[in-house]
Amino acid sequence: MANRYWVGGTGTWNTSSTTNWSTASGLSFTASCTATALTTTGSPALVAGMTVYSSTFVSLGTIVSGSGNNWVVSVGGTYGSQTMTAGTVGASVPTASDSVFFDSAPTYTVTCTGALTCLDLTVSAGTVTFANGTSPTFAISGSMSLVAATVWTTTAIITFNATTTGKTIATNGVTISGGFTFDGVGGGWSLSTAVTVSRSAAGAVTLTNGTLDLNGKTLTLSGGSSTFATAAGTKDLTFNGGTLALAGGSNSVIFNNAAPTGFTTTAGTGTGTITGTATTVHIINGNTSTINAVVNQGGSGQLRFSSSATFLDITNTYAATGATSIRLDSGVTTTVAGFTAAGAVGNVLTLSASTAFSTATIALSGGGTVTTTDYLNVTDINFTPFATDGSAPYKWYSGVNSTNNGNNSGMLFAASTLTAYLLASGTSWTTPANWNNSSNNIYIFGAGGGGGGGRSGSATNKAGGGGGGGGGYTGLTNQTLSGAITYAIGAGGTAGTTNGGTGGTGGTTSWNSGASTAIGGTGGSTTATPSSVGGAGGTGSQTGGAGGTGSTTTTSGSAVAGGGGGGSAGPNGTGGAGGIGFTNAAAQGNGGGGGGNGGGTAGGNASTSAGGTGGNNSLSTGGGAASTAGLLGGGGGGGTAANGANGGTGVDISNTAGGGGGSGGGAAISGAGRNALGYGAGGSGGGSNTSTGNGVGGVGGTGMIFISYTPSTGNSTNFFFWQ
Amino acid sequence: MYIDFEFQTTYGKFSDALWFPEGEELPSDTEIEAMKQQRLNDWIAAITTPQE
Repeated sequence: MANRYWVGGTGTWNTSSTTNWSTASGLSFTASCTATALTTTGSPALVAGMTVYSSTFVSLGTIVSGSGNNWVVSVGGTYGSQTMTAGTVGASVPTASDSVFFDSAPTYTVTCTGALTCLDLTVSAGTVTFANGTSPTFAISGSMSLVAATVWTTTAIITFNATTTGKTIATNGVTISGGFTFDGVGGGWSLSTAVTVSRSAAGAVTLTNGTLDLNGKTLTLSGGSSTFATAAGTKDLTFNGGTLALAGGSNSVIFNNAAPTGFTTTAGTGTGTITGTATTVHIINGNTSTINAVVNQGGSGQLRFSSSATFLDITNTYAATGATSIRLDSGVTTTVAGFTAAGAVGNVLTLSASTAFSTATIALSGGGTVTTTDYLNVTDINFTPFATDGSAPYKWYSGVNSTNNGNNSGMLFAASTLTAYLLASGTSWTTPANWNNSSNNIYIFGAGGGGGGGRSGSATNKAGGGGGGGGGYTGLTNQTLSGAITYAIGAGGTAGTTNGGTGGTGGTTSWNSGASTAIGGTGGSTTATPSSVGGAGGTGSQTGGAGGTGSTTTTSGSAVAGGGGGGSAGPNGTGGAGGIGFTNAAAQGNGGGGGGNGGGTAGGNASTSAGGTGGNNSLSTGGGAASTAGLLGGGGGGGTAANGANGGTGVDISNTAGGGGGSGGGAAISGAGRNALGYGAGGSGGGSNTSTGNGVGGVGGTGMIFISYTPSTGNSTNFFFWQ
Repeated sequence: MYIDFEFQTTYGKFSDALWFPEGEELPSDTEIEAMKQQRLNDWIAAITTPQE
């Protein structure tokens, strides 16, 4: 192990030149020169053989002789009094065992060529520019530190390959134009200052082997296409409160955990953060790993999660500046210990999955409750945990300024002052300790009836199944409850079998040992005459929508389609009726649309060319176009020569649950009616087709009970004191 | 010596340190504050105008 000092100013650092390397620091002194006579002040420790340089690093040759302040140099020239340097150059090129020092002022350039190695690299003085020569790379086996005046324009990849810990990196505000690779088994590096790497490429910073400790500092990848990546090896990223700031955009995978095997992260002291700042799409690929850091949306471009992984939290600091969005790929589960991402007034945060009607999941670990978000617009997200058996209340609160944009579950779009339960299964609910007898609502939905099966008594005598009727609804307010409450959830009516099976009647949902009920809708039916009848809606304080009538024909070759299922009743009114199917001779039966939920409208009737549109919800929205799913309690569109589409789960209770939208109508080609997904919605009727035969009806949606209350603050005793 | 500092921004937290080699005379407090602000400005410029 030895030291190498750069002496003599501008030069080339390559694998062979010894011109600028010395085993000792350059000597700085004041001197003037006339011809070969060098006159110094202060009696510097010059020795024969040293090369002397002017203040602008022009060589005066070597010291030939002299002492004190009078010396003879081999070349000389005319130089006024100035700061000169001298050193014994010609030392061998540094190896991985040699630390290199750039400690001379003022300004010079080191051109870097080839595969360069050293132990520590230290720039402690001057304005030194490290420039590109030919194909430079660095392998630094120790630490790296630069003074703020350093200019690092070389694009060389710097590989830190130490195999021991305790190495440090201090770039002191200098932007590194190259990239970093950490690849030393057992090595450890910590940042002493913030570090900015501007390489614009995948793997601009790559962690292969060893531990990179951000040490509370910010590691910034400022390249437009830059990526922090992992590679095959044993590696750890320690945050200790540090930030990984990733500016890559244009669909860059800014955090690409390409090699999760052997990758760990350590939170350390404080909370670490991975922040994406781009104005275009930037992607996190956690790749099943547990990342002990917060992921922050710090830019206007969409932040995407492309794979399942675990993080500490998701935040959105960009809310202070503008609207932005976060997207999860459909099917991905992002697990977090907290979720504090929120929008702000006028700066809504859009949260969605990548494919419409194909959900992604955000899972909250640790048993907590999310109460700190607001100003969201949410689509296609399942929030978990979400108990649908009444065993636990909602854990996710959206805040009062958020919007349910449809196809979500598990989030209560209400203030966290409300507590709510959803019961779609089970038989007993335990009254919570903070139940409030004077501020509660209980919403009871009967199940939907099943759709009738398609029937063809002969080639010229066919009928599409009638849609099932929607479930009825009963609402209760300010119930006095205690202990275990017995309830029953009505099962969805069974699907009518082929050849004209009548759909089953939806089950009755009962509450408090039958003290209150909501009756299920009846099933749709078909007969050989031919005729088709939609099921009647169930009853309660509101009546479910009737199922739509299936189409019929006595014309050979024609296809018939089923009717749409009726929508469930709800607190806002009766359910919308299902639309009527349509028969044509082109073997293309079109289904009727599903009815909207309580207070909504009837589904549209099918036409010669398209399925019927779904009915809207009570807010006049949500009905699906033909073959398109409904949202927010709107009915699904009837199928056009195909099966219909799903209705949407309702939003008329706490903007979350309620009467489900009716199902779209079944059609002749696929035959089977659409099962109802919304609570209490009727199944759609099956179709019939000469070539594909008869289809079964759709199953009705199950019943449901939704409970909400403002928690009691408990008994209190007031004490009054008089003086 | 190192002088650690950090700023909270809309892009996230920026944490850095000023490093002065041993034996170097330290700038004044005003100059140090200006250097911190310059570091922040440089960082914001780097992440808002990424290098292509």
